[in-house]
Amino acid sequence: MLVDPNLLSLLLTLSLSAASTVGSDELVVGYRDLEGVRGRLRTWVQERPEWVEPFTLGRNSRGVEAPGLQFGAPGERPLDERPVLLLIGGLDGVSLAGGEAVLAGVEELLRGLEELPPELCFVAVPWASPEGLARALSGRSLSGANGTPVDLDRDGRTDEDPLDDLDGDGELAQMLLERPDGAWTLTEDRRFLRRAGPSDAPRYELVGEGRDDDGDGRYNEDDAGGVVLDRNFPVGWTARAAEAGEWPLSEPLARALADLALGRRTIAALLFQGAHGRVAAPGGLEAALVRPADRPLFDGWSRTAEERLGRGGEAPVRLFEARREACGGAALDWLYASAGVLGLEVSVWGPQVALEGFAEAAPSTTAGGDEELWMQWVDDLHGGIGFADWAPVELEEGLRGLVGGFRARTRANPPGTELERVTRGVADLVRELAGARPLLEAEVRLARREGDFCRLRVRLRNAGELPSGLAPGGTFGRRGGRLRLELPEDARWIAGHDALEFDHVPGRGISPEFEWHFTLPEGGSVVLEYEDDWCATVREVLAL
Amino acid sequence: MSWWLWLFGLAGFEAEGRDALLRSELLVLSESHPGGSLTSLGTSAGGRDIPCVVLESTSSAGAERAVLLVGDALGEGERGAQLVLELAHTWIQAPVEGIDLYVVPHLDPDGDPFAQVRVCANFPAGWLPSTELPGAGPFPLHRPEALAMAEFLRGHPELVGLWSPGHLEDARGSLFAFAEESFGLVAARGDPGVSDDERAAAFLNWLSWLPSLRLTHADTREVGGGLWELDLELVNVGRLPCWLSAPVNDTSRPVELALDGAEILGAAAAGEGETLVPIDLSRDPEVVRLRHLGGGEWRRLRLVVRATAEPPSALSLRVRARRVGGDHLEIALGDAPVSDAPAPPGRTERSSP
Repeated sequence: MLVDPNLLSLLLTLSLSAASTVGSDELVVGYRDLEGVRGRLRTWVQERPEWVEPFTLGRNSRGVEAPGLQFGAPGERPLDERPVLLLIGGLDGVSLAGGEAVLAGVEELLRGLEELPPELCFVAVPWASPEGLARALSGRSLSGANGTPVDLDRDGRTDEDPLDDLDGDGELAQMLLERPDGAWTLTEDRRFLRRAGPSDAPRYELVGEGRDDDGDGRYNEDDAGGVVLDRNFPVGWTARAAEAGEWPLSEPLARALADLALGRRTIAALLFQGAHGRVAAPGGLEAALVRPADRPLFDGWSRTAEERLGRGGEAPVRLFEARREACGGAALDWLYASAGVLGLEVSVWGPQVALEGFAEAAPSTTAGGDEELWMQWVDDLHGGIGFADWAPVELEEGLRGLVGGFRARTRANPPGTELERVTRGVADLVRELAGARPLLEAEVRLARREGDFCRLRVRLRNAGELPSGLAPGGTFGRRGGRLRLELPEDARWIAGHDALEFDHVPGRGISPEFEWHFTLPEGGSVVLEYEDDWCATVREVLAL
Repeated sequence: MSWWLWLFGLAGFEAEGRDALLRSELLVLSESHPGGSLTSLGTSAGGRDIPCVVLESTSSAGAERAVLLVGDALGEGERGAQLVLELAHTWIQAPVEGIDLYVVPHLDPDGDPFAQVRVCANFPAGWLPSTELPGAGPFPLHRPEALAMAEFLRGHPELVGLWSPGHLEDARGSLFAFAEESFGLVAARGDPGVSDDERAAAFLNWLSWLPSLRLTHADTREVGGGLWELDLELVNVGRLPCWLSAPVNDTSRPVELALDGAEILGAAAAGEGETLVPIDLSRDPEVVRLRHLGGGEWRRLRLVVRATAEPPSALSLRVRARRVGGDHLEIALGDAPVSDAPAPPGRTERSSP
């Protein structure tokens, strides 16, 4: 179900008052819903059934599927057996633009399918959190939460105090409640919020728009749903955040993603989500997560990614810095720490992206920070749509609130008309990552025969730019590659292990040398088999 | 020590034989208690049953709380199983009223010391990747035994305590940390090095620490117009607070007081040496919700009620808190002496509500 953004633009132009009356509905026009995503994937599979296969990440406990596909260039190895590059959209349940970025990237990659490296499989899941994204698309909620009932306020009931559209504008905005101990106050221009100091008044509590439906004196503290899948992963997970789920990977789709990452040779995962406009490395908590030895790899690919997306120039960031808050339980952190995946969060939308090319764009270091940049975008480039001045509303027992602020969808996703611009470069990034894949090759350093007595010495060379695996434990239970030498039945071992393990081989690097002694009748041959976390198994027959 | 426990220590027994012996002993245990039954938490990674004996309270009021004994939560293995079964037998001889007992001798019946993922390090609280926490696994609850226990805890909100013998060397990823953090259980370790009698005494003493509410009547006054003023005292006679699970999943609920035979018009409460402070009844005028009581904490209550029967007769008061249990009190209004509302001895009252 794709609405043509050009048609919408025309309609907007024809209506002089559109800018003030349309609200932010146009922000989601141009986006596909789940059925639209499924239809697009189906079309691609039908067009190239041999090397484009339907894929399902799984279904959540309510039976909602996260559809996807896997594809790769024609090659000898089936797609299921190839190392994987994962493209995941909107796992946060908010970033519709992330889903569109995955679709845009896949579309371009499929146009040049034959040029992709035939050793790799690309797995794309554009709507990884289908319920959260459906809610975001409908404007009902931008919490990212799915439909799993969660007692957010821990009072023994679920979903009993949801958001309400108090002013009847079709949007769920923010609400300020005057409280003597409120944490916020309005700035002089009466639009921005800032932390209240001891002498500031009036002071406000910031909540979502709505009534105190359950009469407990708190407002909208237990909205409908749910668990945010991108908070449901183990590293930094805490039971103290209700939206993180009952326990790590308690949500079937989070578990499915974990199983996928562990079950396949997953080299890299690009998580398209967020509204910070940056490419972020793992590290959702204040303490650094990425080991010093791995930082150059992440920093390098963060820079490359930003360049391909038309950004760049700023120092690499990790999740904690990009999102400007701690985010325990992030998928990106677990993918790195436990599954040994080169994971990056790619945010195609953010204040700097919104203002890109606008001559008067202020730097992000202004005192108002992102708030002012967003407001500048709303005021100067977006016809004032997306922010509502704070307006009074009557609440229970004479309590007054102010409803307004940024519309929920304003900052989470770009207008549909911007999608083509902000998703440009995604395919280039994926192609570059694919081109850097590790390629292990065996180099025979010594193959000497004295009668039946043979000496064989081998080392492995990684002809690719990426290492053959990642260090922090690599795939669970393994910390390096495996090398095996198989002798025929008429041969006899003298020295050396038939199975060996080796550390991951750096990009363009070599492994230590391995030597075996054995007897082998003249004219015989042996089989050398090797693999690593990011490299498929290779079997070579060596005649000695 | 029962006969199978002696056999248990013998080397060379096949796993199937051990399981059969254990199962028969658990059956004997469950059948030796009127409220006993044998159930299962699930299946281990090796396909073996994880049995659980349930010893339900036989008190007429039933139990609102339960305690879980796990033999090997701290890696004590066969010895741990022996210890919890001995305690269960002790319990049957002198059960603590109002508490159900769940006994899991072997959470990890496979007991493989070389397992790549250790059950006792595979729980979510404080979990770290296996490079930092050996045996923690690729993710929490990866082991089916750990997942079975998590689902068991989720399905039994009445659980308030966990007891297991052994030494807690690293809380990260442990059942102890998970049970405390996510379900608010009070976890206690039993010292495997002391005598059986000492251990049983320590266990029963630990049970006495669990919160328990007692409601007593101090005074009743008729204030005219069919209204009555009741002074009550409420005390938590346990050493642990009523809000056992507040840290994360707040499965505790307020202490609630309700009564039959009268309508509550006003309520106030005060701690020791404090002024009575009105309690908001606007949400539900039929129930007085009180702040939790800490271990040993005493609180004074004053209710103003209108008797619903004419002439006024007996009132029935009930106080309870989830996972704590409650108490019950009968007050005869008509027969109660009229008083000038003296403050309880030793406690001063600066103002009257």
